[in-house]
Amino acid sequence: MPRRRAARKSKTWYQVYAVDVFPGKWIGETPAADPELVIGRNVEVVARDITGDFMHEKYKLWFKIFRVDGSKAYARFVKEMLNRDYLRSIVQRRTSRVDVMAEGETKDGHLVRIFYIIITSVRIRCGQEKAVRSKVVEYLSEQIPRLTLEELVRSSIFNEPVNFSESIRQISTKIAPIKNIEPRKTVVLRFGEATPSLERKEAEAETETEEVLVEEISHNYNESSEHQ
Amino acid sequence: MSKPEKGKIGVAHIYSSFNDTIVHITDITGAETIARYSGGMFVDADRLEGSPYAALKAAMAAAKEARRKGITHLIVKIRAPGGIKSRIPGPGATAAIRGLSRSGLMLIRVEDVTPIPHDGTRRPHGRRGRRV
Repeated sequence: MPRRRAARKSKTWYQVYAVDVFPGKWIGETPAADPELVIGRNVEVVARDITGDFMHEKYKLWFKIFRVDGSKAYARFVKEMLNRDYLRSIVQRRTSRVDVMAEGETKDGHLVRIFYIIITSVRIRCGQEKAVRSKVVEYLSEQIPRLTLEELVRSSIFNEPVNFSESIRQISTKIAPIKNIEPRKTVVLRFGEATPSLERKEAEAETETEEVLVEEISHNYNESSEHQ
Repeated sequence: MSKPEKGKIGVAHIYSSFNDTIVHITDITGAETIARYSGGMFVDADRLEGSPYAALKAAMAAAKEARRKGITHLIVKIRAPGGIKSRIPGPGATAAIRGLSRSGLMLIRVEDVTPIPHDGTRRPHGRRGRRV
């Protein structure tokens, strides 16, 4: 007797959109039998696919799905990392690699940790390395609370609103000759309570339309009462 | 990522050692399996499981199933055993990629995801290696 198969539930595809960093951008699609199963999945994207700029091929971004609405799933930024191949290509012999790590809470309450890699043009002494590291950590720790998560990631990738690479170069070039500065990693350690920017924008748009409607209705009502 | 006009994007995880090749196609999150085949499913002898022929067959079978389920574009992630074992993919890796592209799937990019320890345990069998 043939074995009876359990009826398979057909799976629906959910469209995944970024929310806080690159708000509203499509980052992928995932199938699931139940919408609850989609929550918690991670999506890996190359920054070039989002921005369309060839120069951003070296950055990888990770997003985590936290909310499902119909066939749309919304994902939060979790991590940004430098491509492994690129990282291996910039680290060379007879140069020094200075790794810098800074941690802090952003303006919107997310606890983040950022890693920068500084490559010098010649091999430097241990004292120089220490001096560069302490100065850069001080600078980054100052900058993190001034920016939101979105601004922080945009500063790492696009150099706006703050050009981290240029500032770090200016700080450290007095101590050692600098060849390259790259944002190696940005990780969100703990999410804050701030609503993601896409939701905030949508809410703002809704309140604006509501206000306009209220104004229109009151205007029409006044006009009609005047006619009477 | 720009959305393809027609079809869907999947990820092909190719694990290639000297003893076998596993082609595992998933969705973009890696949570849902779409197709999974290994070299051993297409040859009888154990020693042929890691061969390019078996890998090609496995990749073509996986690609066929993926296409049937609506996948048109693939991101390929190649992996060797890594860690304290070989960091070079086996002979089936290139054959598997060829099999996927020959089946009509569009490959977006190919990347190496071999696990490399930042600091790991020592390889077994001591300083002079395994003595057979």
